[in-house]
Amino acid sequence: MERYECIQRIAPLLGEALVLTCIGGTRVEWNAVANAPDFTVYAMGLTSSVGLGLALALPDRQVVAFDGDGALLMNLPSLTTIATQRPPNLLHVLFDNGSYESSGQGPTHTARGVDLVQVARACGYPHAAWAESVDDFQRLVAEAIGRRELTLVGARVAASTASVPNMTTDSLEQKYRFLRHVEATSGVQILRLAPPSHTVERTAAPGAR
Amino acid sequence: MRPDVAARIHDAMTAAGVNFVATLPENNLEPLVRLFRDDPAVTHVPLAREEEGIGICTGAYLGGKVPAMIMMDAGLLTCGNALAVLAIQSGIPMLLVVGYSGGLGERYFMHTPLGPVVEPMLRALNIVYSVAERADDVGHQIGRAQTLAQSARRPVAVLLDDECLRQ
Repeated sequence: MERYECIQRIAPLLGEALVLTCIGGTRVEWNAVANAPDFTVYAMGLTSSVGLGLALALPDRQVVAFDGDGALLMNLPSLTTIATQRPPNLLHVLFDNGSYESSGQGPTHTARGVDLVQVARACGYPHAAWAESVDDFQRLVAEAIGRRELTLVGARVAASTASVPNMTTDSLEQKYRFLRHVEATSGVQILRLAPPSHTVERTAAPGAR
Repeated sequence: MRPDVAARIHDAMTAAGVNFVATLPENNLEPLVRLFRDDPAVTHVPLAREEEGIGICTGAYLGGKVPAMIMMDAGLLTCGNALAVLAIQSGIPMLLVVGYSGGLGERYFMHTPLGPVVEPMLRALNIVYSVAERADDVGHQIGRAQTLAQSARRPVAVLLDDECLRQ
């Protein structure tokens, strides 16, 4: 399986979802098909953790975290914490290419037999499965979104990245675009700035900010 | 931590707007963590390792929550990359309430390596922090730290020491 084919197939299913990507090829491949702002977690391993926080903060929104094998191996505690919180609106997608693809192509532990889907099951994910084909991947993702229970969908993919355009936003711009998207589509206020001081004097007690 | 000190810290955090807390317990922090465990108005996420908490708090902020972490300084030291590359680079407000072991008054030899490195680490990361030693001042410091975290859109730390941690 090619990761980009998997991503292209599920993009139409994720139109309403809030999407988090990990570093490596996944972020640029998702960026090439995304129709709404996503957020890339550049601290390797923490995409699933950001997904957990976002899913808990916005229980009415479907959150999708795209993870990689190298990243998840770096933050295995995340599987235990996510499983104990069990957010029904979190879909954890694992692209396992057995390789530190974007950092030298050395093998990860999954290339030597570690099965991260089984690890997720053992941690308590109510649903965790490997996709056997791109069709199967699409079906598992659709099922996960429809049932609204914590799910991990794994896909063993080739260690290669599609030839897609590079991203043109850095972390800071991506954050603002993402949080404005969340504000506009979820009705929450995220960026809270203090009002001008002359306004504060008229509307709040002295010393309040 | 004395129960009245734990209550002061809890109340200052919630009064400052904190409504999402990720924690990793420790003997001295347990009375404070317990207050959040039992507070239905605050989303509480017990962690298995501190670094994931920086990610979880980032996600919570992106979903409109006001996040904080409660951890020991040993845990803070595991968060360097997450703080620099995620929270600071992306500009995520986050109150870090950190038990300060290894400094003045530390009785246990195994914690003493932390004392000389905790504050230099925070300074190296350009994280503004204060050291709270007296219970009658800790609430004030936490409120001011959270105000700065929100306005600067950065992590800000309060180190709990002496009367605010051990007595």
